[in-house]
Amino acid sequence: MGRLSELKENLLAKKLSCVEATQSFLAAIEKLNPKLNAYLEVFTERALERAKKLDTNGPSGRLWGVPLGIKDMISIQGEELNASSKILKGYIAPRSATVTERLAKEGAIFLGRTNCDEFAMGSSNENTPYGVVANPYDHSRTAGGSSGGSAACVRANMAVGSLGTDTGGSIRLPAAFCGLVGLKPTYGRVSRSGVIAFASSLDQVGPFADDALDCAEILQAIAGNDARDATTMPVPVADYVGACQRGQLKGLKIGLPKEYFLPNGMSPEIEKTTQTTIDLLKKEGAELVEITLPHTKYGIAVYYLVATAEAASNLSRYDGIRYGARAKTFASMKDLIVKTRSEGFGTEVKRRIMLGTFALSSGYYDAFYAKAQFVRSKMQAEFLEAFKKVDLIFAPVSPSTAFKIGEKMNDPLQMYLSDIYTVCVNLAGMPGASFPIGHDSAGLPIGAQFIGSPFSEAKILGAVAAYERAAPLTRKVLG
Amino acid sequence: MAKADENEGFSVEKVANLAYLELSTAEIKTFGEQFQNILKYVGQLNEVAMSPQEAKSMGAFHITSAFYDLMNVDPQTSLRIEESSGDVEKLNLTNEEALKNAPQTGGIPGELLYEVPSIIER
Repeated sequence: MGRLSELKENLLAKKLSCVEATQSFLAAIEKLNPKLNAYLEVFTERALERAKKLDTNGPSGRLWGVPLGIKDMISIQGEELNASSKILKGYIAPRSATVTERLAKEGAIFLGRTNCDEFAMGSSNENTPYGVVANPYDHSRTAGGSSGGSAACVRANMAVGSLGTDTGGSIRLPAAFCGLVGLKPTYGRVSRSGVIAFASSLDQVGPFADDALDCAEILQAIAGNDARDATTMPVPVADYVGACQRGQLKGLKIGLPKEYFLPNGMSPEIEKTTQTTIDLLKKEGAELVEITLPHTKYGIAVYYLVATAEAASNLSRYDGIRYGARAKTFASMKDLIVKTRSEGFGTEVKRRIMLGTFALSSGYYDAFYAKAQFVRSKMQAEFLEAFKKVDLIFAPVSPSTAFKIGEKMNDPLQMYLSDIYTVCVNLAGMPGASFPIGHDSAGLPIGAQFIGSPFSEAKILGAVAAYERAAPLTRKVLG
Repeated sequence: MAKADENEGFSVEKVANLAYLELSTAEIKTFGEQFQNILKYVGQLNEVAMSPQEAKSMGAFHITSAFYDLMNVDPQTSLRIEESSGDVEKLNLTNEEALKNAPQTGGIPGELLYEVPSIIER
């Protein structure tokens, strides 16, 4: 049983109170966060106050008393919200995001805001002025990004679950690096209202937790149409928790995209563990079918044009006028804006804004942005076609396990290629969940992902849960 | 029409200016080298042919368009505001709420505004 579900049971059985549970996680944070830097801010008083109130009022909601970490891209009313950037230092969210409102309604407690790559731009949680997040398995390695803090806090038992965002793999990659289940929902399944925008046609909020059932509990709370976000769709919310309990691999048709299993496409240990998993899926009664997604080979190229173009537009609002930091000295209005942005944004953010600006600029729009969107439309069509033949797609998450801190910082293209197996899922709008399938010889976790058709999160979580029952992994409590 | 690997037109200073960014000399040099590699990499998109009409239609492309038919959902339904919910009214910030995060305010108390450098020459 995952720690979230176990804690829920213990709280309902009054084996401990909400206050006691919260105190124990706050103590863990005090001990471990200085080494891991998963939390940027801990809401000690507010969390304890809330826990007291929950104890007084008694059980209510599916996440009553459950302590969660929230990525520093997601608004909680009255709390600071920085997007892990200097440019938003001091900004206080005037409203909660729909997702945090819904979690609060279900009784959850927010322990703090978790560290991430600045504006969610990164694959290693190294692009932040507030310090790198260390991997709980090996503190010299990254926790993955951009939602590194959200992954590390759960893995190190500084929360039993957390929320992250995934624009090109930013939930699934850190989940793989930290040995967790991490789900990116279908685009339009979860509201983005109150979530700081990176790339508006790609961003999705999703959960991190120990296992599929724990993820399902969080997703059940946050999923659904939202009047505040016109990109959410009024598709009924499935019973994700029930799907985990009923999930079976027998009879599932699972596609293996040949473009994702090319020679030298991943480390030998990941290749071996992935093959072992494929063999297990077959043994459990799934039918494995080779499929082809030809345009996914352009995934990184498309992503780093579309996402950066959208980011260039979204981040143009940070100008020092209405909120956030403002440069101290400036000669004119334009100078105020230029200096604020130049001082406030980090290197990776500047790089992506510039790439996006170029992709949208006159004379280059068709060659870059329009072409990228065109290839993207073909990619989506290929996924939708594949799902006429298969129930799910199985694929690796990352070509490597967690890499050393600093290893890829001088070569942005090498860093971008970390996302090679994740970006196409976002580009096509499909849901995907990363789950642990083993460890390498250094003890670092290896993850794989199930990708589903639109709004098939129940099927994905059910399959992950069935896999977990077939191949239980020993989970260490790390610090 | 430019091709995706024709990056002779890419001037770091020019793009930085468009993006309201100011870069140091070191940043200009580093970014210049990095963008060369990145733009060369994205140049592979030239392998995919696209007509001018297809290029034009990409402005209207949205990933959820295909989902509406698939999920048998009327796009108009999702745009309809739930009038029974009072939540929508709470979305708009009052002036006071909006100004709470302002770097600088000025004006008459009760009628505060964002304060910015003058843009009108005397």
